Amino acid sequence: MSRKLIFFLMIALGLGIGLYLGWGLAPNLAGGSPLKALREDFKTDYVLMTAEVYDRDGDIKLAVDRLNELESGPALDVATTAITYARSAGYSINDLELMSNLIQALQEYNTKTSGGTP
Amino acid sequence: MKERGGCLFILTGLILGLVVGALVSFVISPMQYVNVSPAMLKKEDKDIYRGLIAVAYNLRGDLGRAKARIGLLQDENSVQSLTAQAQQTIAKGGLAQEARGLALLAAAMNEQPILLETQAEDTPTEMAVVSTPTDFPTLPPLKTESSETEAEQTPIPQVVFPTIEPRPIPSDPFMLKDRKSLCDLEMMNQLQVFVIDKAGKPIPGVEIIVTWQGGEDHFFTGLKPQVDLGYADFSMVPGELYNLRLANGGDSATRISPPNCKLDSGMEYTGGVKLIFGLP
Repeated sequence: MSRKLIFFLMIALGLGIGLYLGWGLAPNLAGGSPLKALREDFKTDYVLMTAEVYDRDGDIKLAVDRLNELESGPALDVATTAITYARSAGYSINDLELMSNLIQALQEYNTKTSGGTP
Repeated sequence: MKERGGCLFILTGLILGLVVGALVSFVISPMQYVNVSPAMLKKEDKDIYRGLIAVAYNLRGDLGRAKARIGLLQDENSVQSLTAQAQQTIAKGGLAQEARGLALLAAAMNEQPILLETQAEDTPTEMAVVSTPTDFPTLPPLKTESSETEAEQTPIPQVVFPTIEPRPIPSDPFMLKDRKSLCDLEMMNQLQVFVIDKAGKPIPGVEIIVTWQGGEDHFFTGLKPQVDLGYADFSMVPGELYNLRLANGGDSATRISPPNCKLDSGMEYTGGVKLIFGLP
């Protein structure tokens, strides 16, 4: 076997090992995925839990923090996306109401924190 | 010399390939998983998820729903995970309602082992790659007893989430029913607290406040369900005086300190104290 062929075979072997390390091993070593990688139905349930808690403790700041753990975007968008999914998935009226109340509170919170509207 | 050159040329090829491969897989196009189930979350994210489940349970008392959600995390031992997280939450000075929820949920689940299975639990644990459709079934909306649309919906046979009535913590103030100093080597410096209801049944999730000169700590009953659902303990420092009360009021136990004890052999040690709080 020529030296050139062996050289290219070694490059291919190294490439394979490098790709395996990054795509195969590293994600497993990282120990799992972040919350933002959750599937939409699980994210919706997370938002529902946040709404359930907000319904009882009324702490909108804490609710915002919880939604920010789920997605990096605005909490209102996270909740709106969730309620859209919840409607299509046939969530109960009670659950939709809870999420709707949370969205309303988030809108008010946004208005307050952005200086308010006349 | 000729052989060394040969080895070097093989090694150079391998390293070159490795660098390019690593560059592609770590920097240019790193693997990102999407559409994962809660079971595939990182430990710290699982803790956030579990904490939220517990807070929701603490505030709403829907055990069926909480159990179904905890089941999604596929912990090896859910009760142990809840208990451990409750202790961590307390140690870190986290949210009291979260710690209480975790303790209550652990106690409730310990009483009734999880026999429920959701579709998501039965699915393969393969992770999904970006833009690759996942093949585990969609989580159906969780049901509660109060679900208004339950009758209207088409039944989903694979998931049954019964709602079990939670045991609320009595609002009446607790009385200190018994206080004992115990000389037992296994109880060295331990302050053991048992909280029971009128019928003598243990009550989990009761917040206990212990104070000493320059310090205060909060803990909950139910974190050691293997001992008793209404049990909690605290490690005392010999020579220190402690006062203890339950967060919802009632009697206080004051000037508690580890008693001096002696073995038959003459060896001295400090024992423990056992307190029993109950409803009048």
